[in-house]
Amino acid sequence: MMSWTGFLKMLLAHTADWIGPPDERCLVCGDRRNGLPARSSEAPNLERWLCAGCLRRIPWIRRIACPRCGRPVFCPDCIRRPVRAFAMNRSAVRYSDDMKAWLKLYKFRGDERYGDLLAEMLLPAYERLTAEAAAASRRAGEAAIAGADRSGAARWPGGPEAAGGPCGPWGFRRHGADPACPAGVRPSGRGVWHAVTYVPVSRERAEERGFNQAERLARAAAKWANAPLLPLLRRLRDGGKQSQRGRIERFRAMRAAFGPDETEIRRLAARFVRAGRSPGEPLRILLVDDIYTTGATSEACATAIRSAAPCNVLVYVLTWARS
Amino acid sequence: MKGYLYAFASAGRWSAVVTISPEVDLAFWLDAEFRRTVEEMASGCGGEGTGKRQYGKAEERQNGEAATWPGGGREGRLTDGAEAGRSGLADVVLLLDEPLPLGIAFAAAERFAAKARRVRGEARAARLLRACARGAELGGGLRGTLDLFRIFGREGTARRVRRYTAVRWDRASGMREAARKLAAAVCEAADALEGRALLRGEAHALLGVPARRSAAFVDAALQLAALLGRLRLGSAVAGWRRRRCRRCGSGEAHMHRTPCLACGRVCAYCEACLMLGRSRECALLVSGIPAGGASGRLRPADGLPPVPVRLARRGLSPAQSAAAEAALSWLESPDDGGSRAFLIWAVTGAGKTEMMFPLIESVLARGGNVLIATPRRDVVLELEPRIRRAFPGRTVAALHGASREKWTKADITIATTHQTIRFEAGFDLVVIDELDAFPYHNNPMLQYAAEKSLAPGGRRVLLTATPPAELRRAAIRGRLPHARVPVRHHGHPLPVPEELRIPPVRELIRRNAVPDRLKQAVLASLSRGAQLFVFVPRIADTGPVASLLRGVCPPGTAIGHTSSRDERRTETVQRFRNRELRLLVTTTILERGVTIPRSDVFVLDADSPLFDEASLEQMAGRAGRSKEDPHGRVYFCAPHATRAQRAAIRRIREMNAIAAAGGHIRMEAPPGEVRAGGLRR
Ligand SMILES: [Zn+2]
Ligand SMILES: [Zn+2]
Ligand SMILES: [Zn+2]
Ligand SMILES: [Zn+2]
Repeated sequence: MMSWTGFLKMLLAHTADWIGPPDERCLVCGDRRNGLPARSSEAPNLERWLCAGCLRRIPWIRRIACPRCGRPVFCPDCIRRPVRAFAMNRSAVRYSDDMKAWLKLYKFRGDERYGDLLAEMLLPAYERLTAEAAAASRRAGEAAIAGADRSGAARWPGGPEAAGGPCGPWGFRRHGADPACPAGVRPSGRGVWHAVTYVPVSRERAEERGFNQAERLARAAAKWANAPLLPLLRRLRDGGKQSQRGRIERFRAMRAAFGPDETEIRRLAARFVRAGRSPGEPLRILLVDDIYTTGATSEACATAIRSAAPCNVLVYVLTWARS
Repeated sequence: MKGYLYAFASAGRWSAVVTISPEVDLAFWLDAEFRRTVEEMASGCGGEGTGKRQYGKAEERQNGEAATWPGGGREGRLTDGAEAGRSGLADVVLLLDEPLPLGIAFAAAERFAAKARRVRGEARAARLLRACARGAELGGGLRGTLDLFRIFGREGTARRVRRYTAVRWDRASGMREAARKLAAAVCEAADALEGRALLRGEAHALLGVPARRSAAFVDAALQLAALLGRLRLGSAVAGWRRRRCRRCGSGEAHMHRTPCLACGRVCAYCEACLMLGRSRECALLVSGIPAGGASGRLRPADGLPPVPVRLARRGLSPAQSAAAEAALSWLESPDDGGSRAFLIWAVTGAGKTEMMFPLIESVLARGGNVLIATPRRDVVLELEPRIRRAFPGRTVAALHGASREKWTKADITIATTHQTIRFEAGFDLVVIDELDAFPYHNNPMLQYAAEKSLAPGGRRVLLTATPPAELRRAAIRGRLPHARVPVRHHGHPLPVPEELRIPPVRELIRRNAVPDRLKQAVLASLSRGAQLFVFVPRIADTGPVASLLRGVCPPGTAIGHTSSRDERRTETVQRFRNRELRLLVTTTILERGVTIPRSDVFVLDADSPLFDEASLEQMAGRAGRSKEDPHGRVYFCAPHATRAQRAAIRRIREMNAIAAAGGHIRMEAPPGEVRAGGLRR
């Protein structure tokens, strides 16, 4: 016989499935998602949008070959250019044809239902990056992040009152192969990020498109991190078509395209000092974008932020896809 | 985007207008020389005088929304300048100096129009203008507004109203020259956008932004065209509380609200027509205005050769001729409030395209234009060369998702059904092919679009082999004029399906066995040299059924299977067309369109609820299409009979009987058929 609470729990579990999804059809292929929802070990919430077939097509980046830029394969770029303005990049998925199509539907057709899906897909990479940032700071002998926790995030005035732990209710997964994150360690993400920001788009682009996909992704990350989402960057001019340029050209053009929002950065730094940090402790900023291609954008943005900051800043980059 | 809202007084009456280019409006209402120049220039293009009359008409059609358009409500005063004393100029213009999100601006103008009658004096007009803007804003959702203010860290400001009584347009660079250039662009825009409803970006692309002109210049031209009554501007998604997409007609159920960087608010966009560019609350929709008379711009048919002569030229069969004649007499009848739609109910393989030719010819000869809307892209591609051949010297445009020529103006436009969303009041004759098929059937958006694409006084021809019940009823009861074509172009009766009682497909797959009856029928078809369509209701069954049949067919028989899920579908179908495949297992995706000269049809699980009467009739219609092999075989295979199967068979027999009674069946029918169809002499 089933107890009342058991019955209620069952009922709730089912209702969650009914009210959860924005639509009972798969967002990508339009098929009805019959039967039990598909489960993904990477991001368990994705069955809200996708059928099992489409879920399987996501090319998750599970193993990283380049610890700097998060590439899943051998990376000559970072060997050629070992010094970067940002600490590291982590991406959720490889930029496969399927992912290209999804991003296209979101960015260019403007189907904003994809916004939530893409943001949710960012979660595994976010968790990994948070763990690595925490581990790195421990190695650097900073004041234990765990200690700063309880005070840290809560002390930010105006921060979003996001409920739940920054890693979400799903806890942390093991990355056995990953030296930065030894198996079994379950770092709390709270207090790791002092601010979340995003790659801005030009005004024309914003008006044409109606939204900035990087800002939408960053919004989700800020919620997980329980950190303020701040516009720390400004688009000075449109980057133009990136694919047509050479590598060096691209880096140069990108540097000219972004500038810091100095007031925002100073305000952030001042709050950071007021919150009682020692001047030596770096300000950890999470920079979010949709794709990481050559790193030119991330490099330019990180440089801009650091140039305007009066204190030591570490910029970590979180991107949805790694091409 | 955002637009400016202003009110102006002319001859003591107040109106409110939205503008995307305020300098143009100020000059239009306050600078007499500018006004005279642009009016002179613009009246020189596109038929003098007609523009104004139609504008009134167009407004009537859109009743209730008139106030939304720039210049709306001004109708009547502009044309008789005596009333205003200064040839339609305004005494004063009050402009809100901060732009509003476009949807809100148009909603505010509408509110102003509702109350404008009671306004006396400038101070009250200014107050009303501010109140309308505020009211429209709150109507857009208070919560959304507050949310956005938080996001962008902006505070709402009290709007200031600027007062203008005299303005000189573009003093620096020769007023006349600049005004002329603008007026020329107005003429071009009015002409290019005639009969279309385009989003701002699309209109800009059509008018050469950025290659030939700047966006600001084209906005100015569009605005001036609206003031002159040559175009209409509005927000793409409009409505008070309940939003509606003005481009595709979709309602609240298809609205998706998101924070919008273009207008700084939470703003709704239409999901239904997203594949054709985003239609949203703050997006500008530019609608053309039809040229020519408002009530029937076609010339009367008096000057045309007699109908029999015209029909004889097209080489139609007697049955085709009879139907085309009926349709022609409806098409050329004077406008007396009769039905604006005509149904051509033609059996599969009747040759309906050829029947269209005399109708298209009639409309073109009388100075009109034609739209043929068809569900699939391959039909567009197939139709285009045939139409070009049939109408040499006429311009033909083929529009589909991937086509380059999205903007070409043509005498005959062939488009996929979705593309019709971009037309408005553009065509004198709209032919809707296969109106009972996906995606048109049961799709209110596409039905709205087809209706919208009709010019005032325009007419619709509906083509189908299997009209839905409500149309059939309307036709039989005489509410919908129609013509039946009961026989195929080759004059042979339709093959009547034979029923094979066999277990369900699932059972066959489970047992891995093909019943003898089915096996014999398949082998008989193969040995008579036919290609076989094998229809199954479920996508998942196509593969297993194909391998099941491979087991019973003679070795070496090429068997394929396809479905909507098949990525190499086009290739597979092409191989079937080329006779590389003898047998193709498929779902209903091939129930229409694909014609194979010598083919037999097997419908497995014919009792499935996924196969309705119409789709059974269509699948049966794949057999016996060619003159060389007019007696194809059709089998409905199922454990038991269903209403749909019986109805489909009954209807096929009924059509054969009608054809026989009408003397259309030229050659002798097979003996079984004579009995079945009840053919007696
Ligand atoms: Zn799917
Ligand atoms: Zn690397
Ligand atoms: Zn729409
Ligand atoms: Zn908007």
